[in-house]
Amino acid sequence: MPGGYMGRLLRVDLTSGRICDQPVAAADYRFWLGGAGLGARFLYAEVAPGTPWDSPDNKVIIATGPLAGTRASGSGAIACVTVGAMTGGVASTQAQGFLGAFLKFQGYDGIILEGQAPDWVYLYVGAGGAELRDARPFLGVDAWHLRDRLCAHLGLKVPTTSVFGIGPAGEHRVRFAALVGDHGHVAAHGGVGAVLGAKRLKAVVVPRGSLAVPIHDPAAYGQATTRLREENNATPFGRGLGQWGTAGIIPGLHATGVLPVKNYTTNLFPEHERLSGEYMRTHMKMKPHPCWACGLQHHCELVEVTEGPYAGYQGEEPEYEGMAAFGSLLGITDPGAAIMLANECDKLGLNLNEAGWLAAWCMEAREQGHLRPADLDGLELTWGNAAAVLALLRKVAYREGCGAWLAEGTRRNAERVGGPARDLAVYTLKGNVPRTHDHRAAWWELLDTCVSNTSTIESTGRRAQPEQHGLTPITNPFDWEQVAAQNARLNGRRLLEDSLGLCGFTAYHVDLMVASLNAITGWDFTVAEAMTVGRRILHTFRVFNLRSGLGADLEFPSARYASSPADGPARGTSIMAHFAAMRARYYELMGWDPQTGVPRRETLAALGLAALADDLATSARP
Amino acid sequence: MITVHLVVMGWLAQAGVVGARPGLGSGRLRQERTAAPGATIRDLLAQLAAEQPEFARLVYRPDTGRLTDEVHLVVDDRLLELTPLQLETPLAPGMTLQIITAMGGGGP
Repeated sequence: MPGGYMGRLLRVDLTSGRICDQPVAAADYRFWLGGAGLGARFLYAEVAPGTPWDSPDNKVIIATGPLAGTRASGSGAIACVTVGAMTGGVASTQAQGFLGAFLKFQGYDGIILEGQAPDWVYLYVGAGGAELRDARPFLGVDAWHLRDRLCAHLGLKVPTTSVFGIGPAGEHRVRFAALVGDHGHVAAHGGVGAVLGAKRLKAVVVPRGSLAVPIHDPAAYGQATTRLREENNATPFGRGLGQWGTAGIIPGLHATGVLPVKNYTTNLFPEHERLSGEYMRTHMKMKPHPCWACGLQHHCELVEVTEGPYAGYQGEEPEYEGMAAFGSLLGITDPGAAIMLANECDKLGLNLNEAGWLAAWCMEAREQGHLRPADLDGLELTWGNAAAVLALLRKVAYREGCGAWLAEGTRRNAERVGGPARDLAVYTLKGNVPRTHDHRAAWWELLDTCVSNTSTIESTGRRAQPEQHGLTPITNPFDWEQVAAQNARLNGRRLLEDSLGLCGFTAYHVDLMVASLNAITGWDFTVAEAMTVGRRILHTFRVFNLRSGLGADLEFPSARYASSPADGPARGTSIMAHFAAMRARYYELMGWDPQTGVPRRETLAALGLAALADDLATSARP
Repeated sequence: MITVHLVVMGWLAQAGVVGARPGLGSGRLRQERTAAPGATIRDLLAQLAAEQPEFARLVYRPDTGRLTDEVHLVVDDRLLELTPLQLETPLAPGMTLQIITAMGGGGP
């Protein structure tokens, strides 16, 4: 067995209560690495395409990677892979915290959850083994206090116990429910919390164990991971993240037209500075709240609001997406209100990106008269009304009143109401909403969000440095040909990161990541071979989706998502003038049919996935 | 001489690019720069790159004559790529050039 691995996953049949070990062969580890890769491997092998997200036949794979549980910076990560509630296709979403490390210390590289429990349970994984226990006393407990309550019940110390679970939203199968853990870390995308709710699994509890992660060459590994941390922290990104957190980018995004404002009705928001990381960290009470082995120096913090109507509110400092979703996107200017809403959203167990876009759509549709006050139970959903947004979130999480239908998410509600209201909503036809950015000034992310397997970003991000891969950076981000080519050529990088057990914020240098991988495992990966693993995962997801009926016809933005900015620094640009050609070029460069987006046989064969080409050939769809 | 305003925003500001001292506003550094009449944006960037290795590494590469993938440049209130002359735009009195860390969406 190579270093870095514990050699097995935990397989939990929630229907029967049977728990057993799932050995993993060394060759499988090399082929898939871990995290999203192991998720792809088991999802594809064990879940039939088209399986409904809430079926007992769906499975949830929570997996770590080979670097997890070591001193590598940010090595507490998990990937969570399943058939998601938002798209009916693959959901692959990550979270930090401690679970990835603590699972390794208990002897597991991951967990496969299958079946459906007859009544609510939580999974305990400890030194004495794993077992399912009665979770009924914890129903209704929010996703923040769940950790405290379970630890108190079990007599465990909170800091040395990882607890990931679902809040009320997951219990009520809200489609965009998330998996939340360790006080504020969220596997947010795709509706994995809804899947766990359907399985009646409230939480996974893993105290820190005593096993050590085997390391093939400790000296080389220490050297590689130290360099990875030092070089990551020396970049502008690393320095800035430590000083102002991810919300430090808000002024820059506003200046470049990427900060979403009032549901894309404008790009001007003069009050944005008060939502920024610098404002928070210079006006609020802050306290460090690092994940396992984090070397980023003050990325995650706890916050206490010190001003405004929410003074005294305590929670985790929101990331950028939280401050944007509950700030500029909804016309909210009070940073305390945005902090409160982002935390309450997490506690309820909702994906805050979807919650933000949904509330923004309600506000504009109400303003334009497409939704009547009675449709929203009389809530005064006007721009900037934080109290009404909070009431809306609670209705959604418990499926009360209008929350019963809003819990289906933005796309389904927009299509249900139809007419002009539909055209106000921001979403992809595949089913998710974008991250809380204005992608009309970030074409690479709009394309990626539309064509990705998860309907959220998959190939892009400023961390995927093209020069590290021998590529020339694009010279014009509004040149559709350059954007298509860059996305195609960098694809696989993010999924490689998601297969290692590392936080994406610590994975800056691909060569040092691969050096770390080789030092811990004893393998001899090149960067190109490691990138192949990322692309293998991506193509496995894609074939699964195609066989599930998610094809090119769904790889488009909604009308508002692809509209032309009315003002701001990117005013007048129009991605839709080029979208069809851009998408076709992207497909072609990926080795897919430029019209259908179906991977060519030789593309799959080059990734060691020839059998998937056979599967595609025998599928009724596409 | 022409005076223009140079603003460095976001994480580049924390990296000390252009060497100014942090001012008010979120992660912003501000400077006034002077240039000869007829000078272009490219001329100013080349001058800054010659003065500071960090600028040449992170913002503008004199060897390629291009901005790096790390940054956006906003000319007054317009993204550089959407201006007619882009880097060949002549500097104008009172013009504001904002150099901003390029950043995108979070983790999956």
